[in-house]
Amino acid sequence: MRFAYNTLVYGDEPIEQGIERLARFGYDGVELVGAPDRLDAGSVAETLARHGIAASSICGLYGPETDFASSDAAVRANALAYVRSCVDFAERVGAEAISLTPTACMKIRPEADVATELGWAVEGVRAAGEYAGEHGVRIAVEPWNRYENYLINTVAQSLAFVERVGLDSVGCMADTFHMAIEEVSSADAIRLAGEKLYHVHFADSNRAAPGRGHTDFAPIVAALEEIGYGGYISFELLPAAGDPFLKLGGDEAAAFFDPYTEESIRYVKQLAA
Amino acid sequence: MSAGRPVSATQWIFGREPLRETAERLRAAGYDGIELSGEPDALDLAEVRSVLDATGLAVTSICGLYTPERDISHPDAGIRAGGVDYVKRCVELAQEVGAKVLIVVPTAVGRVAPVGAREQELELAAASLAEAAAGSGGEVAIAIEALNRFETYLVNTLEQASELRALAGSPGIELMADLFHMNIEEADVVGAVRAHSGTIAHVHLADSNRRPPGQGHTDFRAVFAALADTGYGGALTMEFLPATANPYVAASLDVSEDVKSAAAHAAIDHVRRIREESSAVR
Repeated sequence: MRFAYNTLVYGDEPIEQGIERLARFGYDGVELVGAPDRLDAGSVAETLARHGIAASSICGLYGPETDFASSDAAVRANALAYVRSCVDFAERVGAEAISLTPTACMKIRPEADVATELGWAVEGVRAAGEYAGEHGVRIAVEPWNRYENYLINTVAQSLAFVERVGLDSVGCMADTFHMAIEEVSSADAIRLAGEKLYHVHFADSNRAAPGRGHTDFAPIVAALEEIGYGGYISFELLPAAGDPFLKLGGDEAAAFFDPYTEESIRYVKQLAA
Repeated sequence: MSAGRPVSATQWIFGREPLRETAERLRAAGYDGIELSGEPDALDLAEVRSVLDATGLAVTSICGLYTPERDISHPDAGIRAGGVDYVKRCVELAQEVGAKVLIVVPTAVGRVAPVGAREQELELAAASLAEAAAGSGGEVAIAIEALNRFETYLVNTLEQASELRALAGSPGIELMADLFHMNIEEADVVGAVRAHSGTIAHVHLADSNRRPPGQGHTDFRAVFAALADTGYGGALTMEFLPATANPYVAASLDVSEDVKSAAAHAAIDHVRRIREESSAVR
């Protein structure tokens, strides 16, 4: 199995430091925040090469201006342009996958009716997926829990969406924090996605490092092995807050740097052994 | 369903349905009681008594509903006074209907960040609780509820609720355990129940996905064993909901009669099955 860590939680720290840290703790990959305007692809690729570590994935950021389900056509067009810019960035740094949730984070109710919004989202993600496919990058549709969006909460919903999109370049994503809230069985959800599972996030039931909550990762790892999952397991750990982004710079964020980076990979490698 | 802790369900999850219909539904499914919504101005006490007489249900508890103007930790003294006054009126309601517990959430539901500093708001919550408890006469326990991070910022775990309880320092202030919120926030759900067993005055049951117990992945056998081992004598109150972000909006969704009844049945049947298994073991 290949392991990565989402540098989102490193906040404003220069990316060179995050890359260095992940190489030091034995990671195979670095998950980069989808911010092509703020990260210089050439410099990131050079730093990755120097530390002998890959770019695993791009963590897409979906807000009110990048909402594939918005009732405003200009916003939907902007969401597509944003993902295309992430594809360009992914190609330049060699990242395999981009996470995508086809609505805005923290949008908890539709503006139009859900069927109409899903239709817009399928259309937009198909266009994004065609572009991604042309550039050798895959898109992984991520379910978020009910408090972070209303549109796609479960892997079954993600899979139904992905099937409507109908492209090899667009698959599902599974995040164990969200799954601990939404899925009856996280392992079954992984088996349901099967070969369409393109990317995985690990965090414990409380979003801290695996081992610090009550999620049993053994059956989850076993399910990933069973389906022959070949992508990365990327740790996406975040502070315990309704809006974790508010706390990324605070005192509570300190644990997410060296301590959680070190213990996450150690904990899961020992399970997968 | 007597023998053991009384099982009830909280009224607000059934939306705007009249109390009598909810009570009939619960009685038919074998419940012992109901948890009334904390709306002292909206309740007709004569009607409540008539419904209780007709169905034989007890009122196990009052579920305070913490809207933005009922925020007992808010730095605005006017808002806070409104919150304290609300809690006091709910205590009176509990006394009127014989409920032993009033649930208090120490911020408005949905306030996920402090207005000012967290420490200050914790102190304000403690003072508000102490003031409200002074009028409870010891008959009604004020149970502090920890909600998950997406519904409040101040108290998310039983340990944090326990800190607030200690800070308030008044008799009659206790904790409650809500198994849905605990699935998200507690590193060890059953361990938290055991660690705080002496002060848990009330329990809310919903599965990990907030559906009726038995429809998610929470291990209720282990939860009930911990409650039994630690001598918990309060009620088990169902609070299952559809999967939406705002619980009060969720309750206002149109849900068919069949679904409401099916959920009420599924919830108590799971509890009953575990009880029968454990008594068969003994």
